[in-house]
Amino acid sequence: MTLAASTQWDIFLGRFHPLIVHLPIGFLLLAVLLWALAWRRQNPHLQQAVGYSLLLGAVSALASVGLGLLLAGSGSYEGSTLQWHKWLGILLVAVSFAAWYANQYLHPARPRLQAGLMGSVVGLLLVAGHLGGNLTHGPDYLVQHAPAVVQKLAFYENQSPARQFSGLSPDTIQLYGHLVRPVLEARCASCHNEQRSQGGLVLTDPGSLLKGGDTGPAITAGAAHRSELLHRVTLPRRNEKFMPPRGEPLTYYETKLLEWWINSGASFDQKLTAYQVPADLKQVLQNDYGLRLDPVPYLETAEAGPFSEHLIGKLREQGFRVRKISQDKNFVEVLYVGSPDELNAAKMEALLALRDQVAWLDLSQAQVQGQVLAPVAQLPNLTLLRLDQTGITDQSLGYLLPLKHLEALSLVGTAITDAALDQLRSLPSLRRVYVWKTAVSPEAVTALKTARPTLEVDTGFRFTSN
Amino acid sequence: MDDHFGCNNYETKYTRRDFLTRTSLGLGAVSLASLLNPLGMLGKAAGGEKQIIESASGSGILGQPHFLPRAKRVIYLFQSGGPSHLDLFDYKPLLNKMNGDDMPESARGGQRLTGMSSGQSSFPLAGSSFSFKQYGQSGAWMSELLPYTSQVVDELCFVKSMYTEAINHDPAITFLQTGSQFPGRPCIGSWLSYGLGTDNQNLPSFVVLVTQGTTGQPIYSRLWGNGFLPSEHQGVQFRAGQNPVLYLSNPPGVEPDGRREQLDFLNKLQEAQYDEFEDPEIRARISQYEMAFRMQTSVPEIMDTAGEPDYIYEMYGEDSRQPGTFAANCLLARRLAERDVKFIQLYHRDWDHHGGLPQGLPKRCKETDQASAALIMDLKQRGLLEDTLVVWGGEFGRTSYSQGKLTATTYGRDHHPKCFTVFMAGAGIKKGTSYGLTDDFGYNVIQDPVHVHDFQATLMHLMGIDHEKLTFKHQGRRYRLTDVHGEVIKGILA
Repeated sequence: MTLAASTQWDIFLGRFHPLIVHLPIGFLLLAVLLWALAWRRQNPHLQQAVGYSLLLGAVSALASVGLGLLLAGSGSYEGSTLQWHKWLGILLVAVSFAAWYANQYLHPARPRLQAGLMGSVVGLLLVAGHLGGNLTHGPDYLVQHAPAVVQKLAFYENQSPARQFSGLSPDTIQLYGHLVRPVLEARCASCHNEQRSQGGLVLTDPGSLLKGGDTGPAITAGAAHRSELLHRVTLPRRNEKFMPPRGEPLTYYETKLLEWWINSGASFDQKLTAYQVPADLKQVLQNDYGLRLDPVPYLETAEAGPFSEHLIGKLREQGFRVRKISQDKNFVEVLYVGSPDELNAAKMEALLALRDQVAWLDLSQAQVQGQVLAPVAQLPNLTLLRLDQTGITDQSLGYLLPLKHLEALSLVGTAITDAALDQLRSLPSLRRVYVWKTAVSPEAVTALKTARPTLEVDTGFRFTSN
Repeated sequence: MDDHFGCNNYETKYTRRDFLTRTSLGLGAVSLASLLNPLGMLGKAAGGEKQIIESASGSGILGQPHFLPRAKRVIYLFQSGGPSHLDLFDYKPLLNKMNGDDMPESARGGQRLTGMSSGQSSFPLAGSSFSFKQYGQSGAWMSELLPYTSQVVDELCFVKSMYTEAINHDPAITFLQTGSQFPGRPCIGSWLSYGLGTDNQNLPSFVVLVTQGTTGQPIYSRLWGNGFLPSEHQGVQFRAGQNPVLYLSNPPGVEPDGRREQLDFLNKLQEAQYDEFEDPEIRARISQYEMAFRMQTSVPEIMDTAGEPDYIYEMYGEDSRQPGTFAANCLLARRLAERDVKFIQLYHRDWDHHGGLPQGLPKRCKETDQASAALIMDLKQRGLLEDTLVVWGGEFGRTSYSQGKLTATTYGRDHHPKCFTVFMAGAGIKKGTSYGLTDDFGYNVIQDPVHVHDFQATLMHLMGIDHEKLTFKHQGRRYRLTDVHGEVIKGILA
């Protein structure tokens, strides 16, 4: 009895529609071919076959329409594509019967009418058949792997699920729009779209997502464990309710992403920066999406203009070894290799020829006294400065204050004192200062660390005894 | 006689093959490329803008790194033999709980074992006999065997999900150093030297220091060999004692001036020979002779650590006063790094604890723990960790089950390629973190696996090199360190 109760004849039969529908396609195309052949050869035997083919085509088309209406009634398909497919299909039945009638009883008196009818049959067959294919396989099915030219003609845009966001900064990326929706579109939308809402569920827009499907809402904001969407994709694979029913299951990270999105409130418009991204997802975003949430080194975002090679030679005469840091940028590293006590303000001025390019500067062991350090203030892209064992004083460090992007400063073995650390407080990008072998006191270091918690001050290292 | 020479192309500068290669690479190559990729001619090539950089000789073929480097030099503290991750870094309390139980077949998953333990009738799990504690702000679990490294864990990034394809020492070390299990490919240091050249004209860009007087699996010079790269890119081994570099010093009675004159004349001959044959190996030989001459003064200066203050020796441990020890080599590594040597490779042997692990492992740790940690912190206090990468690790891990009999006092562990731990510190590394996870047996990687090629790709990336673009054509095809594999591990980059 339970078996009989669960039998739904309409859906059972309706699902034969995609099978039966190939009969009229074959018969009707055969009829048109035979007709064209018969007309060309003026062969009466062939002419007879045209009639049979048309009748078979018309009858099987009628059967297809019947089954199709049953399938449409199951509610798995919706939207304008279905409506067009339905009415064009019905029209095709009418036209094929008309063509059969004209072929049997009017021909050859009305050759033009017959030609028009045969043409309509082919046209309707192609359009209605294509729409049907779109309903079953999704609208991208044909063009997804087509050559670029065809895709362009079909206005098809390739939407790969693993979008690369390397060019974008996290504050422009929407959690739903850029990350969640592509997953839903790639993995769920072929069955849960407006045309074909399996289980009454549409996952392509926020409204329908919230509305849910036949069994209730798809998501419960803030509670992934009570959300049907997540439940279905994490069921055992053999469970009949497991989603997606065919193809690869969602990856661990896709599941994680959905879970995190739902748990953090399932917002549709929040930017990624509004969230505290968990460490494991951070890694996913970095690996799969090229999205770096951690701060990027300044030099990777900055640019400097090209410079002429002969400048390197000229600076060499001043005692500077200048080398381009990498092929992709014009930044240079500069090392003073001249005699330690010959470094003077004039030589340092010469560096200003590369004012935008100097990113790393090493003056270690040179005599950097008085005004010598002053030109450094005019190197806007300086990120690393080494002044180890130089004669710098607390006052000369004042020249560094305009360096907005200075990240690391090495002052090992210099005569600086606590006053120097006070000044460094106002360098906005400074992350690491090395003050081993200086007169800096532990109190001053603590004070600086309190004022600038992200700043690391290295005062040398001793193991604690074991 | 003439025929004989002609047959060997002895007197011809260009062979027919040379001529065809050189000319066909002009117009011919352009037309072939456009045939294969018609869109490329019209605008941006479909495959992006990756260009293959290669050359037959010279130093620093790239000129500069491809992109902004995070590290300018690497110190690789190689622990040969396969240190047990389970007794040092990868804390697995379940092994202690199940100590002596047979390892579940499901965990091993039919994986191949070495001939040394595959015949065992049972595979009793062996819990570590050493205690673990969490250290630092990062809360890294560390074994009691590494009291010094435990103090610096906040500078380190542990990669706990390394895995390799080789199961025995020679292929595994060769794989890690050269990207291939078979001998003959250039090692990491040679690739870096070939790509980036040297920053110090007086020292080789690739120096090797091997702990002397230890036993264990052998270490041999092909591990720092240049393979098919020009031979000036091979690693130069510095030894403790009278002659740090073999055959470098002048024989008795030969003065530096005389040596210089001799070299100048020899260079003339070599240049003449090069003009004749254009063999790049001649150039390599000239540059090696010249480097050797400069090293006659630079190497004794490096090796003379008498000027190091006592507190530095104390930091590296008492061993560091004893030339040839791992600690002394760590101190030398710092001195080499200060002088901008690009790749400094240390080898320490005898981590291969098939049996008697609880007795053997502490000795190796005692030899290496303090000096490794001291090196990292010494570099740091000098500001050198800004652009120096330090790597510590072996060629594979060790099994969770005991090789041989598990007793109350002792056990052994066999080779285990499926997971092991490596730690890194310094330039561009996310410090105070741990990457990747192994299962509760410490047997399989369950999250973020890192293949040897991934590790190599990441190392190159930190040096500013795209590992896919540094290639060398040899025997008809282009080779690179990572063969056709390798993904940069973005998760460990700062």
